[in-house]
Amino acid sequence: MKITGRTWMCIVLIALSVGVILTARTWPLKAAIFPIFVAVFVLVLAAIEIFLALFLKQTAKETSTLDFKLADAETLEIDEKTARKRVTVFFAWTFFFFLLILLLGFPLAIPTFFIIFLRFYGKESWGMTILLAAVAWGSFYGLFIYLLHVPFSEGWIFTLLKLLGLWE
Amino acid sequence: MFEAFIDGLLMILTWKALLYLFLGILIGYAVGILPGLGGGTTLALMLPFIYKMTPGEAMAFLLGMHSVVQTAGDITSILFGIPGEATTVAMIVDGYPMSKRGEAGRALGAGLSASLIGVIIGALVLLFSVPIVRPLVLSLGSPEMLMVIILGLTCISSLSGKGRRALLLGLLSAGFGFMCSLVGQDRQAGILRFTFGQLYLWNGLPLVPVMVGFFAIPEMVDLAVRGTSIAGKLPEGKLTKGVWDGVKDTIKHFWMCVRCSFIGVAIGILPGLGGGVAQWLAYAHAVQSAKTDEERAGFGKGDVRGVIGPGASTGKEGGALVPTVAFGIPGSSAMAILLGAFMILGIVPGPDMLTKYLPVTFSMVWILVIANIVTVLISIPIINHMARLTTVRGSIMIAFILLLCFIGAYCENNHIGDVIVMLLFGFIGYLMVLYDFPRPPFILAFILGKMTETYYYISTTRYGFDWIYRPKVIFIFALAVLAGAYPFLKGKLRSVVGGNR
Amino acid sequence: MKKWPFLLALVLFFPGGISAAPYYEGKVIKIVVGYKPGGGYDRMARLVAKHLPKHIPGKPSVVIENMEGASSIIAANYVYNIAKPDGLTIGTFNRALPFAQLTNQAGVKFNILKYAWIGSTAVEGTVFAIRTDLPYKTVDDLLKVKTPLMIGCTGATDISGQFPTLLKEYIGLNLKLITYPSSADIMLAIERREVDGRAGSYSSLKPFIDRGLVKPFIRGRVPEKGTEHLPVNEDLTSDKKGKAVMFMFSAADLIGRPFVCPPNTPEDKMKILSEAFAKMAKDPQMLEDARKAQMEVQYTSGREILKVINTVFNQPKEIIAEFSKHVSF
Repeated sequence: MKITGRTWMCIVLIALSVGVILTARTWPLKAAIFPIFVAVFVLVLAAIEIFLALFLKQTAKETSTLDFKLADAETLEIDEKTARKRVTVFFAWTFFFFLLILLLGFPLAIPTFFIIFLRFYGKESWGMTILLAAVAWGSFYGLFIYLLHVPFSEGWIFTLLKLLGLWE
Repeated sequence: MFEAFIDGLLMILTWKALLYLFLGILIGYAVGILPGLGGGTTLALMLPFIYKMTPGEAMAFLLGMHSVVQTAGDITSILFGIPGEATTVAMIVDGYPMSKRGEAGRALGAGLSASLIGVIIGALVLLFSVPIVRPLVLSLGSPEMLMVIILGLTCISSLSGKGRRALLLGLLSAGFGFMCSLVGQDRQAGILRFTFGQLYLWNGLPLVPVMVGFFAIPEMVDLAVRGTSIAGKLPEGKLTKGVWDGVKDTIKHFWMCVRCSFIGVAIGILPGLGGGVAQWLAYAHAVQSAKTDEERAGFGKGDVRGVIGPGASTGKEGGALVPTVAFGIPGSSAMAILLGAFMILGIVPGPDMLTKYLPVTFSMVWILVIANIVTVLISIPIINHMARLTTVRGSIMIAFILLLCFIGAYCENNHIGDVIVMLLFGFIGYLMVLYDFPRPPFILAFILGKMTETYYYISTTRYGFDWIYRPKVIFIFALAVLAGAYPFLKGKLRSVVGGNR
Repeated sequence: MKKWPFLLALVLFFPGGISAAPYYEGKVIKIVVGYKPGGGYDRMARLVAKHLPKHIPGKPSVVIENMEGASSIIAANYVYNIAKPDGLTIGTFNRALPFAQLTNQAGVKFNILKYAWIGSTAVEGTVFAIRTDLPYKTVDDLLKVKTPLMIGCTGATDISGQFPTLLKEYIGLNLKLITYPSSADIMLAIERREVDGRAGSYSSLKPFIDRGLVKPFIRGRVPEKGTEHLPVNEDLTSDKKGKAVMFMFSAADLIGRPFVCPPNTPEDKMKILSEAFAKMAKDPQMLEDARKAQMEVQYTSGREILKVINTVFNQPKEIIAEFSKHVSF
């Protein structure tokens, strides 16, 4: 009996369905009928999947899906640890970009991220880094700020500085 | 009817109209290529400008822009695996794998040429079906529409892969998609569902951030792990097939194109369904045309027919004009905005649009055709260069794609919550791909969730449970069951007919 | 060296700033419409979007955002809670929303009296219409039907839901309500014979009445050109409470096409907008376009509207209780 990641996903789905059913009971019928129907559907199917996963031997053939298979340690001939590290690193950088946006606001976060990312992750030369950051920032500025007047909030750091009276 | 067809063409062959058409195409191209900066938002932004144009010019501008957005959306789907529009998701399934094999040019060529054929055939089909369109739409009620949606979802789930296990996962994926679509105020009673006290969630999870994150982030994880460019390891680092190979492929599968175009128009005509269902049903048909099991397995890994099918379903654009114009019910959010524009221009939707004002309706169809022709002509010379993007170093691509994702998610509502949603669903998408849950059923169910609920609710309130016994409902349901059982049946048929394997 | 006298003169002659550009210049006003495109509220909003700019100093552009759901409660909530009170967001929604608040409907997160009211651009009399291919000719015929009439509505808190509900309660009309996403969907359903009729503003039903698809049978107290001859719902019942409830309900017709700004929008912006609306309602081009779209335009100020709403809210408790009994779900 192997509890795989997929089994965990199903368990989560079951938990969600139960949550839906319990919450929906308090609603008037016309708002509740569809959620309950869907939740029961998911509950039953997830239970079947868990059952099959735990008690049946699965062949790789049976589960090839219409979606791509993530490149992983097997297909790339690198070891599992490296593959996992790369995934974590990627998510870390993404989250970093998000933090930059929160702290500095879009217009400043973009060139900052590009420069740091391309230089340290992509290992590009300084020339290439600056060039690409300029291209990204320039087209962003031209299209979204100049042409479309999209309002971008200023970033928490500046709000803080303003509150402290150090910036205007 | 033929006269109306020709009159419609003559109506737009004025210099100014063509100029605005061209302008619309350029803007539409830029917008369609940027994931997330949806055709809908831009159409809405452009509305104030059309007050100053004559109706003919305004229509040329808006429709030109709209039709191009779809086609350009296919480009990002194929090149980067990011859907440019909700209707271009089906393109990703085979288009992106082709890019990874270095055949981006071929995929783009096939997709665009199929689009072109699709739109032309669509226009012709519309021409001949004008007399039956109204009766056809009127004969389908809410229960039938519900069944069509279920048919679409079953097709996708059953195509999700080989074997019953995959079908199960596909259905689970769809169910999860439905559950996510429940968030927000419900249409029937205004009850807040699953909003956890967040005002932001009252209108539900926003489609664009979910879609962009869901598809883009797992692709980028893949890129990061591989450490190469999108096109991976190529012989001599050169792209193999180019745009003309793609065009040749489309011509080779011409009849399939035609059939998918029919499907596109047929679904497009049904009010309110939107292009998503059309693309997927066309895809399902393309998969079906595979003659052997091995061929079928090739879908999802870069079979060019998987690109041609959805590409040819652009007939849905012409089809979607019909309910918009004849009934005032927009077939998609972009059509909804167009509808608003039509009203400003004094075009009032109604049966007159199919009789008295038929030339006007046909002029709209012509605009779609011409816009697509122009788009394809502009694109073909540059496709091979665009395809080179797939050879750019992965880390650079990741930076730019991340940028596009963040901006695409943010710009719709200027709310940072959208970015959070994008990241969240990016992670969920990653988990799903990791554990073999197919993503297409999720996104289709997510998009169609509210509509499914509405039709289900109307069917039950209006007809009690009698609606199950209506003949058309039973027919469509039977089709759905067939589609669902397909993977099981195929195996049985094989062992009965072909001996052992 | 030569510039400063000129600049000085400029500053002296125009105190308060060389930078006295109108607030609305270069800006975009968003009208949030609580319904999908095609319905009466949406069409009025688009008409406004087209003609309002020229009456606002600075000539901003005006765009529409459709935010349908829960009979425009979603849009009303948005304008009340989320939109910024900077004079750049206007909301238009179901004229019967005061009743939703009055009956404490779940999901209502606004206080209709606290919006910064611009006013209303029309008076909208309500009518109840049935498919012409049904064999009913008079109200009496309708009262005698054996199977319930299937009536389409866009929500139980919409006029299209409430008007028939009151008819059912006090006149004994045998009907069943079915909710559709938009009035365009209802009209399609009528053509498909999925439903038998609909109640709604006369202006939004007029194209279909003229086309011969539906025929109006009953109207609310507020008459419009073309509906004066129809029996009034209040007159069809002998129930005193019923009459009072229907009378109260018809107050919504006076609110017609409401336009509001988020609460606490500054006075100066409200002044600009209200004046612009009033001027626009007299603009001959606007009236011409309205005529072509078969709509009437008539401006009622925010102050007047608030008076109407207050009258409704100050009705005797027992009438409100009676009202809440029937407009509940």
